[in-house]
Amino acid sequence: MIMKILHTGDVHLDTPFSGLSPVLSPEMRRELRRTFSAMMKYAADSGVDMVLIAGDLFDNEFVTRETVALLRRDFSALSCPVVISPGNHDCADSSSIWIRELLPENVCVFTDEALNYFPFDDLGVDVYGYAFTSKFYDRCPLDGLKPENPHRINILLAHGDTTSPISRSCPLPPAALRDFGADWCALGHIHNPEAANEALRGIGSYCGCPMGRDFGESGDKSATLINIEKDESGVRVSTEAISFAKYSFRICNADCSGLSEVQDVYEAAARAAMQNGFGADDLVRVRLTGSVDPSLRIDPADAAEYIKGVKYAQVRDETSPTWNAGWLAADKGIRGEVYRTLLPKLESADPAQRDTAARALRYALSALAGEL
Amino acid sequence: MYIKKIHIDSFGPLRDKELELCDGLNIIEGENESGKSTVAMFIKFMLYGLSGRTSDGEMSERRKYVPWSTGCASGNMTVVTDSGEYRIERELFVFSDAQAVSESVRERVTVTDAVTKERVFKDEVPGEALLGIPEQVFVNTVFVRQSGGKIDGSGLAEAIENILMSGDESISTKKAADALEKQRKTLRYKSGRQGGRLYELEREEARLSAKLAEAAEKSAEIINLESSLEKLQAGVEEKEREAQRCAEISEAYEKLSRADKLDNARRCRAEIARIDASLSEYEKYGSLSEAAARIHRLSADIAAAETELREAGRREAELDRQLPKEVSEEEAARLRSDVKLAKKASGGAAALRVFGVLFILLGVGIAALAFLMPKLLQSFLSGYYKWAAIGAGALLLILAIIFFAAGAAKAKKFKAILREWDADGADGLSKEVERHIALSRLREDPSSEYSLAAENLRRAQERKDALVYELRGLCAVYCEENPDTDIFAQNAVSAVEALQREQQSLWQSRREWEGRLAAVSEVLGDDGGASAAAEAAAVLATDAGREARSMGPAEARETAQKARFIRSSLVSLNQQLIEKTARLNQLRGGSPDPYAVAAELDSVRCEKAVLSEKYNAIMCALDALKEAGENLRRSLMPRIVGEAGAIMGNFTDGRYASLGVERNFDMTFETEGKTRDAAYLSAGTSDIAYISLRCALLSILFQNDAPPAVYDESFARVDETRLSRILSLLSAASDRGSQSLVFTCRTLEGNIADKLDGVNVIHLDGKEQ
Repeated sequence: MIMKILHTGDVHLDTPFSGLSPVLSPEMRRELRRTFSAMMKYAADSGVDMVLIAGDLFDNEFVTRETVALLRRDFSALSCPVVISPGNHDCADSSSIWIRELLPENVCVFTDEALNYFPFDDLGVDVYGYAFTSKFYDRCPLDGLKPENPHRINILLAHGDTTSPISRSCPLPPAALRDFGADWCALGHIHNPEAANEALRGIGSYCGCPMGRDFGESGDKSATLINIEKDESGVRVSTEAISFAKYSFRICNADCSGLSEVQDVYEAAARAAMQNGFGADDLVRVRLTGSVDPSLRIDPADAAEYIKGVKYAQVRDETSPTWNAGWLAADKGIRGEVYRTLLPKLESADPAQRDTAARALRYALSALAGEL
Repeated sequence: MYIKKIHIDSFGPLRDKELELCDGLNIIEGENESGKSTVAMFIKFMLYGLSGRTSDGEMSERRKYVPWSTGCASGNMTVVTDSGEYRIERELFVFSDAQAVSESVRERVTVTDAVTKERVFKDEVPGEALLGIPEQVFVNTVFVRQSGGKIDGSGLAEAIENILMSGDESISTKKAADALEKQRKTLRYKSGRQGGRLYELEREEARLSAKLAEAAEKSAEIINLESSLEKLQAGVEEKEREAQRCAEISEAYEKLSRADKLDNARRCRAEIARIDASLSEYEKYGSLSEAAARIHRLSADIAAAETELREAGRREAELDRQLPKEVSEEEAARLRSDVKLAKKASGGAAALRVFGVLFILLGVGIAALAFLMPKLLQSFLSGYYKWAAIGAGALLLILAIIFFAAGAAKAKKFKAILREWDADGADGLSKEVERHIALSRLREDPSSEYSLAAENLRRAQERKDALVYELRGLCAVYCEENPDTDIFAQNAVSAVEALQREQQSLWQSRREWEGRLAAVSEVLGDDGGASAAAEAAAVLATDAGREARSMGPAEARETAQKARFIRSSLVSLNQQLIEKTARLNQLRGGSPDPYAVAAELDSVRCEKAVLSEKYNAIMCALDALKEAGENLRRSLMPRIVGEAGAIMGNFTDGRYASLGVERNFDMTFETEGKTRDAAYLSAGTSDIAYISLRCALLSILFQNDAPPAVYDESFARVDETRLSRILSLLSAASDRGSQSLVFTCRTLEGNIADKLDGVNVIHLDGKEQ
């Protein structure tokens, strides 16, 4: 029999979305809740045998009353079991919701740091997992352990980091996952999992977050539907990404090299958003790149006003004030010297240092011009 | 590069003004407000245009130099560079609204090769294309204005610093640093001092973090309380339902009990009536206790009578034994006859014994003969004779035996009579009988003791019989006749006692029933319990009634107790409910939404991150500015100072042969073998120092194709001698390709220039509109 398992995690309910506008923040919070409810409704309506939540269901250690009510309502509507492995954002400490038994009886939550498992005899499945009990979990809990019932479908539900052996968010080296010998590893923690999943091919996958929460989580987001079958001949697993989020965060670049008028820069930003086909359900960040005249004064907020037809627009000035800067380089006065002083940083490989240097040059020139 | 010709169509107050310039020193004379500064600005207009920005409350260049009447500033300028001769044409149109609040601009600028007439440097700023420097550098280096007063002390130091650092005394590195510091200070004070937005944000972050922790804790408590209240409420409702059910059952049981009591009352009454009927049966016995006492008394009397009777009987018997039996005449005759018979028997016995002995002897004799002499006899007694003899002997033996027996019997009888009469022999017997007869005559004597005793005995018997009669009569009421009076009496007593017990039992039973009746009679209302019956019937139609019906009293008590227990526990639960609800309301009212706090905290962190970036950038800018300043001081400044010192030495004919700038930009001068500070200088010397610095800057910054230097009233306070030297030097500089334009309102410069070769003097005519 093929089992259908809905694998999600990193939902981060009650994320404040403070980086967005005051009007949009509460709407996005509601949208995140709606996305979660849509996942649970899908599980209820499409005959899913089990729901796995690989940690960070909440964004904070605390949980709001509305969220508790939401969970109780949505979980209660499910006829299948829900297994939760608390992560670093919603660790199972003494005050957490996980140990307060507020959730319906079909919800099984790992509350111990040590590896444990929930047997589901009727499904022939054992789900292994553990819990973060504080923000940090420095060791791999799988060392030397094996599933107790090899003939059953063994699934590891874990919140951890497969990309770094020294991670403080439960290092899970792919080799350790292989050695453990689960039939599938349903993982959480990495929100943009494409690269990490490449290294996990055949043994498991990260589900990623079901909805982006900021521009660091741009692109299409989804939950994972796992179809798993095990018999004498072996285990067969297939996965399918299912999108539930209405809104997506998108990022594009607008090359402003050589532009000397802010108007042109703003129009370039709008043009970039339009050319990428962003629409009303997209929250868009346009990164202004390239070299511009040092005297150019770009106001990202003004630039964002030019981007129309999207849910939300944000412009980030990452331009380098080095365009046509020969006169500045040739200036033997203080301006030229400031430019020359900052030039190594302006040409640094570190974007943060470049950005700081660019800002510093603009501040310095404005100050010298008496315009600060 | 030098400016060959200027043609002003319309600029500021000037109209259609044309100036031909030489590649060396040009002195443009004119009275105040004749347009000298306007011409200087026109040069800048041609090369870079006019700025629309305002600063320090002054009107913008556009507003100042675009004539209001035409709204158009225009003109052209011909310049000669190493690469050729170019004509720059520029038109600037400014359109303002009626209130002059907003304006729109249209500008056209072209650079044409004077030889080929082709347009060159398209879409480039002419100044940048031709001079290779931006407007700012041009303005800061090429334009030398009047220093504006005596340069001394800190003012001069500042000006020097600014010139050294930026080529423009109006651009102050210090001010820039101050401005950056000000910005930095708005973000964070120095040296850990508490202040600035970042500091406020950090404090706010700490405050919100603490608030969030508290809010989270309270939120957790609220969630727990709500969950607990939910369960508690459900528990209370469940218990209330259970208590209600128990109460209903108890009530139903009570109603059914009332109905049962009604039945009990009826049954009690019936039972009492039955007992009363039974008790009425006992009325015929009268007082059973009295009867029992009477029987006991009679029994005692009878016993006493019997004792008396026995005593009397014993006395009478004793006396009776002392007296022979009463002998009647017949009996006396018979006794006497008996005495005679006894005597005869005695004699007869003796006779019989004698015959008996004879017969024995005869028989023994015959037998002996028969056996001792059988042969003798055999002959004699043969045949039948023998057997006859043997028979006769046997017969005689039998007879002997019979006679002995008869005699023994007679003797025995005789002896018996003797023994009866205790007599010794026949005579004694006769005497005894006679005595007996004589004594027996005493019984009939009323005065005899025997007669008295017999009378007492008779009376005792009569008394006893009377008592027995009375007792038996009494006993016969309670039990069946019994021949034995004692047993009869005992039976009667037992019967009375049994009757008493039965009666007492009945009374006891009656009292009990009456008690029961009293107990249940309270349920009987005015309607005699009809309502209770109706209620019971109604109750039985309900579940509670049916359940109550199947209950025993113990169960009913248990149910009622359970109801009370539940009610009692409900009080406690409701108290908990109230307390928890109060706590919940208190928490809800007094604790912020953790999400709102978290959002606020996140917002603070976002702002902090943004401002931190800004802070880092400002700090980076400050560091860069500082480092750049240090670099300039180390590299460029010594050269400029050295050059300026040389120029000043030339300007002052060697009086101020060298110029020094301290680290704090205080200026010093070598004069007459002494080092003097700025306060020592006169106003004119200060101006010379200033001009020396500007000239030094120009010579260093533009060593090859230097732009024209514009001196706008820069020498107003310089004496003639030194002015002469300055102008000579500027004129000589034309050999190195340096064009100088000196604007002045005096004629002194022109007069001096007349003595110099190759100086072009232009006179602006009065005010022009």
